[in-house]
Amino acid sequence: MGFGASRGGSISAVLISALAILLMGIFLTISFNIFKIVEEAQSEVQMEVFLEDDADYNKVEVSIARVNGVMDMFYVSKEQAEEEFRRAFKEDRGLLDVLDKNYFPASFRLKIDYGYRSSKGMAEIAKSISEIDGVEDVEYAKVWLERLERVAKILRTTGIITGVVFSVVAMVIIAGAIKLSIYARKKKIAIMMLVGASNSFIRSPFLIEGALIGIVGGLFACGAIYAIIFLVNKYTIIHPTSPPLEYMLALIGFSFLIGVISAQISVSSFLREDG
Amino acid sequence: MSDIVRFENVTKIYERGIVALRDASFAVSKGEMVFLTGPSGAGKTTIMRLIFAEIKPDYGRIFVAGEDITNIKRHQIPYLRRHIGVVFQDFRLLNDRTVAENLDIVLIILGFNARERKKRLLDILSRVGLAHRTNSYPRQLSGGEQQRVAIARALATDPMILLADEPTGNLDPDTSWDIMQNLRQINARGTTMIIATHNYEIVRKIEARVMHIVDGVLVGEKEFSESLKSALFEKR
Ligand SMILES: Nc1ncnc2c1ncn2[C@@H]1O[C@H](COP(=O)(O)OP(=O)(O)O)[C@@H](O)[C@H]1O
Ligand SMILES: [Mg+2]
Repeated sequence: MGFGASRGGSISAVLISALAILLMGIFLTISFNIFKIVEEAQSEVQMEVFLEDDADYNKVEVSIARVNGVMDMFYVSKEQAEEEFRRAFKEDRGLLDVLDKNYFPASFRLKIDYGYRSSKGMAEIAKSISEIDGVEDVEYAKVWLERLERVAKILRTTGIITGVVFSVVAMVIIAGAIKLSIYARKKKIAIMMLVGASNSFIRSPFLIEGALIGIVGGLFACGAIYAIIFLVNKYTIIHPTSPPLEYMLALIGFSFLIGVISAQISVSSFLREDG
Repeated sequence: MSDIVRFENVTKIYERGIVALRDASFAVSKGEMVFLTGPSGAGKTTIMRLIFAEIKPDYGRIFVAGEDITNIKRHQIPYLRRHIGVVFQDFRLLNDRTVAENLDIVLIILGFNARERKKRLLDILSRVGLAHRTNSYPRQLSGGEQQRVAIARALATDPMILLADEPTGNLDPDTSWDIMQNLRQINARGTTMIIATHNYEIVRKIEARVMHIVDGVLVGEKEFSESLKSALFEKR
């Protein structure tokens, strides 16, 4: 069965669905890059537990080690803390001159388990640790972590909305193209049904057409995404990385599914109203 | 049971309450040739459409080849239709396809391979006397030849029954006669034939059972000559 009769409709469907997939892909790329930053930032999430001057740090260490989510810790004595401070502010003589004695508390720096590197997990750990005898204060980048999480959440929500909107747009367009294609072959379909062609026989060429529109659209979109990333890297100061190949394949697969589903919808509605 | 088509008290009501067929009961035997006559709008096409399950009856039962098709399931319809060839007044050929391609579609649906298709194609076309026109397009053929192609296509599934709905409605008298002769030959080779027609000239000349229908009601064969006269009178 040829696809000649309504090639115009199919070509514009390929282009428009390619555009929809492209926009999804661009969004995916942006999200991917931001998520990468978020992830990197999260991998550096730390917690510092400051001790009271008279605390028994061995006892505190044992208690901290019992808290869920603590992966590793190392001790920073008062002397080391002062030393660090002096190194960090060595240009600022005035500030250092004021230090008449060691005001710096000893502390434990904790490495946190991956699963606890959220503001919720961190808050839980901080609460447990602050209840330990000899702990003066627990500090971590609370505000910053929350902000990071908000960004990730917004990204995810917009991602889902964008995905749904563009999927629907692509589906409407592809379904329309298939409908055109069906109507161009209305007479042929009627004859085929008359001589006993099964529904699946009538349906399959249109499903194939939908699948092709989806795949070709997806390929176009992925090509365009790589091109855009290349150009952005070359001509701007930002340097996005392209999402891994699996993402792109998933995008093409998704586009393929959209094509098949749209075609299925079109053919089913046609066969139902006709038979 | 040698009835190949049987209607038992069949009533068909279209939208807006139009009763196209009222309590119709009849049977057509295997190998029989039957003319279905009656004025326009009498219900002839409705009977045809009921037989190949394009529409369903509102009351009564319909049997085809012993199977009750009254409530036939959608997925079974294709298999029913492979036993029934249908020919229309307006030929319904694909004008952008050659004669061979028009028939090939059917043979592809039936799952024949390329070699079998070629062989069958010539066989079927020779049965309607068109073996020499395989590569012509419908527009290059006369009306009679186009109708022969349509008949050939209907025969491609090797059906038990051939339904012809006013097959000569668009043809001149001589061509009509040729087509009818052709249909009779096909019937002689065993295909049950139901032909709806307005052409009383042909009905009178060809010996076959006549079922007459007026306003959705089948008129008994006894009353036929009476109603035939009135129908002819109506036409003038
Ligand atoms: N799809 C339809 N919807 C409503 N009424 C119809 C439909 N098809 C046919 N009819 C009506 O049913 C009656 C019988 O029609 P039909 O079977 O086509 O008659 P014939 O073939 O004898 O001319 C007519 O009154 C016609 O107007
Ligand atoms: Mg009719």
